[in-house]
Amino acid sequence: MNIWERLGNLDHRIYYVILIIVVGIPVLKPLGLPIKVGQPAQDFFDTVDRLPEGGKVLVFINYRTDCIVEMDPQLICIFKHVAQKNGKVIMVSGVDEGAMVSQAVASKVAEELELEYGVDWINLGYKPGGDVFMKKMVDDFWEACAYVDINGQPLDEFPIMHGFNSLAKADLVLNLVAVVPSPGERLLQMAIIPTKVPYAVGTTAIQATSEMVFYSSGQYQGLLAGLRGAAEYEFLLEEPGDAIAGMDSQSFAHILVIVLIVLGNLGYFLGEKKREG
Amino acid sequence: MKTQVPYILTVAAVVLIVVSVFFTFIPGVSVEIDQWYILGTAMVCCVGLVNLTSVHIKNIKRKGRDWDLSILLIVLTFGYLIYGLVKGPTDELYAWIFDSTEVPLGATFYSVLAFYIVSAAYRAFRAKTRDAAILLIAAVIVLLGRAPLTEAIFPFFGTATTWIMDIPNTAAQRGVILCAYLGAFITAIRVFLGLERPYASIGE
Repeated sequence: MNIWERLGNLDHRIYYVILIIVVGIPVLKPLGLPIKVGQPAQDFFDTVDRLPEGGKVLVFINYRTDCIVEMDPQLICIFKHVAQKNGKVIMVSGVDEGAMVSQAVASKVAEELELEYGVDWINLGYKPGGDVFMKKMVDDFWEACAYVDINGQPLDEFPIMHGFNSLAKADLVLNLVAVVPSPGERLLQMAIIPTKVPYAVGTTAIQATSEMVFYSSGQYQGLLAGLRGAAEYEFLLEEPGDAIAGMDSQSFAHILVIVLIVLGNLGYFLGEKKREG
Repeated sequence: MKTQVPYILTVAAVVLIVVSVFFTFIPGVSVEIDQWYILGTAMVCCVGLVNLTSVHIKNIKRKGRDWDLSILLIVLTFGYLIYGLVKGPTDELYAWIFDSTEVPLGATFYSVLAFYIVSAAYRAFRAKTRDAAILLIAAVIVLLGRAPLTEAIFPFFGTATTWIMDIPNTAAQRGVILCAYLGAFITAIRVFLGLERPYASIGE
């Protein structure tokens, strides 16, 4: 077995260990590699930045525990950015685990920013119904949400909900999406196109390819794609957090994947030549 | 009877919704039906719970495979459910159980993908054919373009990644989306006309 064949047949434990090392070391000791802001993230930032003073932002939480690493930093950035504009955040989840996941993140960041529940932000919890629920939020927001927040408290007890009887009353709608079929495009059809409320989407890197279509057409006014998108948002906000710290790991993991692709192909082709010879 | 009644209900619901959306002489009907639908989807969770319970109770009674785990599942499911119903989802202990089990388990499942990706990149991603080579080159460009380090050293990869995402990717995705919606539209018409009866096997 020549050197190329050996490189093409590495034991999987070797590259698993290398992966752990290249991902782990930058997490423990961040290198602070430069981050270039892409147009989709810049547009997302600008869309939130155009929020009027004290405006209301409706944030849809459509991700589960599996994607928290990519999505939680996006939600944290949204909270910080809206707080800078003295805005209000109304969260509602279209997936079962979304309510609990967002509650853990939001309550922590709200405490840090000294935001008051029911006045500056609220979590309406998980609401079933999919497309019909989205449409219903335009017709009668309170009825669509069964008149209660995540704890079952009546909505009329919260000042943030006063006068907010339709999705059309929102100054901005943001949708954090990591499930298929995408609630991003469904919300677009059911509520955003009829009401013409400004709309932007955050998603995972793996789902960015399918969401890009709607950003390119201008229907999403901004797009955050994965941890990279969150890192770009943190950079624009000048609030470095977990996403920027994770970028170093992502850089080295990508390079490792490319090195392995090259080694695998060299081993395959050069090993094959030897066999033919 | 089993197929006629669902079909009549389907046609009636479709006609009511279409008429009330496009004409205003029966206002509020589609809004009311929407509310029924939302309540119906909420009830689906209960159907799932009933089914899960029934399957595992049968397993415990028969002392089938892993019947002890079935007991554990029933106890945990109903224990957590009852505790949540009594205390609410933001209760400290309820949230702690979720944050200490579901959150790390979910994140771990997704993180394991990194190992699969690395393994697949090494063992399967080979330029055996022209199509595979094109896919491989595109993947390498996007990988380099999405990593801040390589994008900073070689800005070309960032530009090329943007082009790949904006042009070929968007073109292909739009084709897929258009076809999917056409398919959904045709299926809806077939259900409305009774040519497609997904409810026909109910009770069989």
